[in-house]
Amino acid sequence: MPFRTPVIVSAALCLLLAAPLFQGFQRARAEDRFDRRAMLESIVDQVVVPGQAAFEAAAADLAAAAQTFVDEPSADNLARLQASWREAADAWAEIAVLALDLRLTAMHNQISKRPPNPDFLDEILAGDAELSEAFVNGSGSTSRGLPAIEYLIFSNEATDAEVLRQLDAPRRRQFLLALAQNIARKAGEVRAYWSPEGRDYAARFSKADQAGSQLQGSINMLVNKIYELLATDLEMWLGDPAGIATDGVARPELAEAGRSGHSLSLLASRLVGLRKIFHGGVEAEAIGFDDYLDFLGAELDGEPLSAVIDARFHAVLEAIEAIDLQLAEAVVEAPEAVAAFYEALRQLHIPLRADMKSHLSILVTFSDRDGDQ
Amino acid sequence: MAISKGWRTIWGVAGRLRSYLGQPVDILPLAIFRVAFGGLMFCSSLRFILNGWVDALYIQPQFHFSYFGFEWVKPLGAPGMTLVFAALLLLSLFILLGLFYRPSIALFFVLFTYVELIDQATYLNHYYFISLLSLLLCFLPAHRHLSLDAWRRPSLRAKAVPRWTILAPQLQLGIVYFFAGAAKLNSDWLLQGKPMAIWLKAQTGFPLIGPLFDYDWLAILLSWAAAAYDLTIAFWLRWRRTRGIAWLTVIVFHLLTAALFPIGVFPWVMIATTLIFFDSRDFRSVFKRLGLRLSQPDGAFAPTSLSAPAKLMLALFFFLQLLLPLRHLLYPGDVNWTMEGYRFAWRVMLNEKAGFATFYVVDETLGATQAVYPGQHLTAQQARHMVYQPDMILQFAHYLADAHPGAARHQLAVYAEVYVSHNGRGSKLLIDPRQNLLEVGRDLPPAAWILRY
Repeated sequence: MPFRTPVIVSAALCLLLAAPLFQGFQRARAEDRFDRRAMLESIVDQVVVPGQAAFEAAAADLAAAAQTFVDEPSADNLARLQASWREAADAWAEIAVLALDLRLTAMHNQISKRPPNPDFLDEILAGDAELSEAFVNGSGSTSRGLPAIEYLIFSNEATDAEVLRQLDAPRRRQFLLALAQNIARKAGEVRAYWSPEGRDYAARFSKADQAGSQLQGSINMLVNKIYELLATDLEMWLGDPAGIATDGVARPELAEAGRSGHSLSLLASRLVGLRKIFHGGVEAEAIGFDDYLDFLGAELDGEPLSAVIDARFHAVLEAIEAIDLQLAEAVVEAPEAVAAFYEALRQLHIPLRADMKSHLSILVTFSDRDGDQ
Repeated sequence: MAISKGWRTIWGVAGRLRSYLGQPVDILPLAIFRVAFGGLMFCSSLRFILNGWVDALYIQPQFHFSYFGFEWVKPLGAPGMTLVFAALLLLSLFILLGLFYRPSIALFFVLFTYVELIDQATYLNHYYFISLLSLLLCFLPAHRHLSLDAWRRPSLRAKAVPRWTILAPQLQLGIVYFFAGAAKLNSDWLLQGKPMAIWLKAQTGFPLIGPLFDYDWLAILLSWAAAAYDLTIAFWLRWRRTRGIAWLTVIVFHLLTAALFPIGVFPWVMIATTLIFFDSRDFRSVFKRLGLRLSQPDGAFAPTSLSAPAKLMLALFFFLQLLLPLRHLLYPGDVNWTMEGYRFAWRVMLNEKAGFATFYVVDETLGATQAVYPGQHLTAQQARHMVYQPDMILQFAHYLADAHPGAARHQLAVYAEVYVSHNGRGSKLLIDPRQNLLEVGRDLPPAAWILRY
């Protein structure tokens, strides 16, 4: 029986190995371990839920402002509508990174996908289809959402009085209202998707604390989304208009929200949102990536990595505050200040995308391949 | 007199060795090895196609990182690459069935190696291993039993083959394991338990033992166990008394790595190929227990004498196998950081690296500087691997210059600021950011522009 002996011996060895491991498992003390699920729950409770509530309220306010404007078009009501749009756009920018699965990505694109397509929008306005909320709900992402409203109520070339005159056209106002109502509806759908009353994605998100397949772990997904967003901000929304990522020639027309002049605010809001996620929220008891990195003992140049990252977040937000022009103007009139903002943002990338990625063993999810080099 | 005595001794040892290597042994292990290899390659090729990797890795990228000396290897375009993978699938099936074996394994080797040579960013140790094994199999009479070739042509059937045909793949496996173990004998692995600790801490949701992964002592324990395993497993598999338990260890070890780490087919490759260590008695005993009958091979002993050039090639093959993993000793600094002499050396699972790279393309004629990020030109997979491999960074810098609109008329320079974090250490500059990479060519001597850690 040559085969039986190795089986018995190996089983005995496995038992011998398993015994101390099991004993160790019993002794695994909570204080020796980092609770990743608690971190994800903190992010949900302190960032996602309040962020969505803020956006839902802002979206409802935007829809109400659009209704008021349509009922009574006036300069005051246009100004109120524009202010509501800015609030909604900022609220959305704070949680824009949370497009974590395909369904959420689709919903996020329906709320804000940039750049919008002016040709599509003009085609819709020139057509004869009934411009209802249902019509908007069936439209493509580049002809709806916050960027489409921005296209209708702001202009970087015309004055507000001229914008108001353009909005005299009934179809323009109908479309505006339908767009705003659809955003309010989508805000509710996104909230419902996360909430226990709806699809309860929050529970799935918190539960997938890298149990099982690492590629499907929430930490991995979230961090990858953070990197994607940061890369887009650095390269597309800042590097391109500033000319830093092209041929050195400023191209103000490439600014993200050039019509509204709200580009810098959107960049700042997204960074504020990312910083909240990094800290797991704003409350004292929040648990975030900073705590996780501290638990792992991560350091950079003799300082805790979490402190380095936080300081760099702070430096970027300060660099934005130092720019007192709209981005499209600043890239031409104050290129040094924009370059300082760009460099501060680039410096934030380094500890996030090199050090934090390495410490958390993050995989590139979108097109990764198995293996070890 | 002393010289002639010495020669006689050497000649005697060589004769005994030749006689030992030529002794007939049962062909069954070699035939099973061929079937396992073919089956595994079939599954692997199918998986590759079904996952859409042909498109993602060889068709979509606008730029491919070539290997030094193999810059002429280019992808064939969408129809060509699809055809290559369809051929690999078919050839794997032929190898499994032992149908048209000789041309099938030779063509498989050529096509598989061609695919692997297209892009350095897709380099994986186990794909290199498969290339080597398929080359080795070209020399081995693995189709003379359990094959359609032997069924079609009775004259081909053999019940025994020379011992060297079994020992050759065993030696290849032994080299892989041993050098993989030797590469683990460094302070990160043995004293810090890195990168194991980093990977385990990201897997604390693993059933039953996951909660223990937060403890550094477990990472160190497993690191030592893995090093000891790699260094000695080939010997345990060779020794008949320990073979059974050693192979069970192979299964447990590789299943654990498959469950914990995204290393694809690697565990299955090692589990399947280590079957070559078993002899026919082992297989027959297992098959008997499973209630299966294995027919005795027909035919006689197939001496499989190699021609002198083939013998020389085989000797050179193994000689290179022993030298290549050691070539990093010719380079200064830590090979795990500089990556000089890193590939083709079985340096497996040694690094957790991530980085952030900014390239600056300077048009000195216009006085303009453009910041470029790898993701603008490379796939995520390419960018991820390039960022910590200096020779790939150099290639990308040259590619950026070639792709620049002013490439033909303007004076250009390309600089790279690359921060890399290695095994949990704080990120550092990998290469000299003041070095114009266009002034550096691809060559083999140590690169002065790589910064030592």
